[in-house]
This record gives sequence, structure tokens and C-alpha cells, in this order.
Amino acid sequence: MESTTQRSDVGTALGSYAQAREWIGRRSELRLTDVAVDESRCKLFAALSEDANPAYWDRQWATAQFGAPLAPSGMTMSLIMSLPWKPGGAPNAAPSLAVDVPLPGQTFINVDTDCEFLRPIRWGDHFSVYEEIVDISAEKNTRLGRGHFVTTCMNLLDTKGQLVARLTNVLYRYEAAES
Amino acid sequence: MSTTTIYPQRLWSEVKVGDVLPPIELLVEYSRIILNVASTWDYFPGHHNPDYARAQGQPNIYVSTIFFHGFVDRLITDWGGPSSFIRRRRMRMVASVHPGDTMRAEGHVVRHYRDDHGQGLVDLDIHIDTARGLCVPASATVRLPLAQGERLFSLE
Repeated sequence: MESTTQRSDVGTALGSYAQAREWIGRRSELRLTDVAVDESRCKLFAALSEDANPAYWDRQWATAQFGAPLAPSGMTMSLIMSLPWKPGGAPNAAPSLAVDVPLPGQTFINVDTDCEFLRPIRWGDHFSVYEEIVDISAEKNTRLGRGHFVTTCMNLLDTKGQLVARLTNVLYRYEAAES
Repeated sequence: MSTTTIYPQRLWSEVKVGDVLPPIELLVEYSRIILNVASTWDYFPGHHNPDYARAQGQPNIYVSTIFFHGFVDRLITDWGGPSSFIRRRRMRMVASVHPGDTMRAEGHVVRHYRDDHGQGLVDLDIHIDTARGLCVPASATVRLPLAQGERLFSLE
């Protein structure tokens, strides 16, 4: 049961590859993200890459062109991140179902992404997301250590239930090699 | 009467295979890595805790995938213009970027075509490097307007 699952200090569920295989095809519940897309997050993200695209900065132009200013499409994966704390002590959603898969690897690193967009993301959009475990590799040995590649697919739906983006991600769950 | 600024926009018909996107560069200082964490809400300790990053087998903290997404998208829209729509972007993280590195993104057009709906598309081959070499090979499919002022999407 989930409540008895041992977790690492970064929240990864620990278990065997045999246990992990049972997770292939598993789908998370639909979850409403913590906040809607807003101006401050979009501009802060654009500032990270010093991106002057007026779709993110010029409200008048962007509204005429798109109906509202846009979020940089590059920040889409951040829109599914949970707040680090919320009142009531409710557990926050893991950043990915790949963290909840029981595997020996305590730590992880992201290795591959494939993002498809069906329309631009606008200020005010509020997404619900669900994720599926697509594949979990047999044990591999890389320069970082031994582990498993976990492939997930996350779907972002708008308030009308329309698919807006699909993010396929490969994350490496591993035990760091002795240095 | 209000006026709306007109920004340069590349049209699909103006592009050909082999066209080179102007490279972009960013110095990754510690402050930018903190901005990376704050702007993405990605609090995984490999991005802000040097001890944790070293225990992972990394020499220091490193920037996140989401930063690479934004950096590649800036390369594309700096070249294409603000009405460009990134339909698909794929990337692999083959090496990490650490404080003190300068990231450089380059790309070029590898395919120029219309889809079944007549939309004007280009495929791009992209890579992000540091002085140590290749970090992120990437590719993207981008829709460009067929005419100046064309709206690619309805306003709602």
C-alpha cells in the first residue's frame, strides 16, 4: 500500500524493478494545478532566458494577436509543479509519477523530453493534468550509476477539457556510482 | 486612438532549408540558477544544493530541463518572430550546465513544408553547448504565418 512505501529524502518511492513493472500503464488521477497561469510567473520565466518576445511582455500587442498575453511555451513543465507548502499540511503532488514508481534508485535526473503543443498558453489558463507510466527500462549502467529509465506522458487539459499540451518525459532513476 | 506596435515576423515563404538561426548565449551565474529554481518551481535539490548534486555524481548544482526548454524556445522565436508557434520540441540532456558556464544555442532549418491543412511548417535542428562541448541536442517543428498579420489561432 502507498502508506507503507519507503521513500528517499527527495521523495522517490523505493522498491524493486519487479514492483515497478506493475506500474507500466498506470494513470494518475486528473489533478487541478495549484494556480492559474499568471503574469508574474510568465515574466519571471521569460527573464530567466532574457527572452524579449512581446507575446509575453506587450499586453496590447499580444491581446490583439492571441486574445491575451502568452506564457512562454518553455515553462509548460513548470506549470504542473506544486507549491512547496500549503495550509493544512496536505501532501503536495510529486512533480512526476516517475517519482512514485517503486525502484531501487533513490535519486533521479531528467534525460529526454518531447513536448507537443496544440495551442498557445495564455495568461489566465488553468490546467488539469494527468500522467501515465509508458515504460520502465531494465537496469542500465551509465556514468552516473546504475538505474532505470522511466518514460511518462503528461497531458494538460484546459477548463473546457480540451488537450493543450502533451509532455513525454524520460527520467533516470539511479543510485549514484561510488566516486 | 491606440496604436499597436508592429514587430518583425518571419513568414513561412521567406524560409529555406539550410537557413541558420542567429546563435544566442547566456552566462549561467549562481544568481541565474537561483532564478531558474524560483521561476520554474522546480525545487529538486540538484538545482540548488551543491552537496546533493555532488552526491548525485555531478561536480556542482546544475540548471534544470525547464531552463533548456525556455532557452531553446527563445532561440526559435528570436529568429521567427513573436507569432511563431512551436508545435513540438524534443531534446536530450547529454551533459549538465553548471555555475560559471556560458550556454550557447544554435540551430538551422532542416525541412520546409506544409501539413495536410496547408499550414506552413519548418523543422529545426538545434543544439546547446558550453565550452566543454555538446549539452543538449534538440529539434523543433514550428508553424510560421503565411502572410503578415495572419493570426494562427482564434482569439479565445
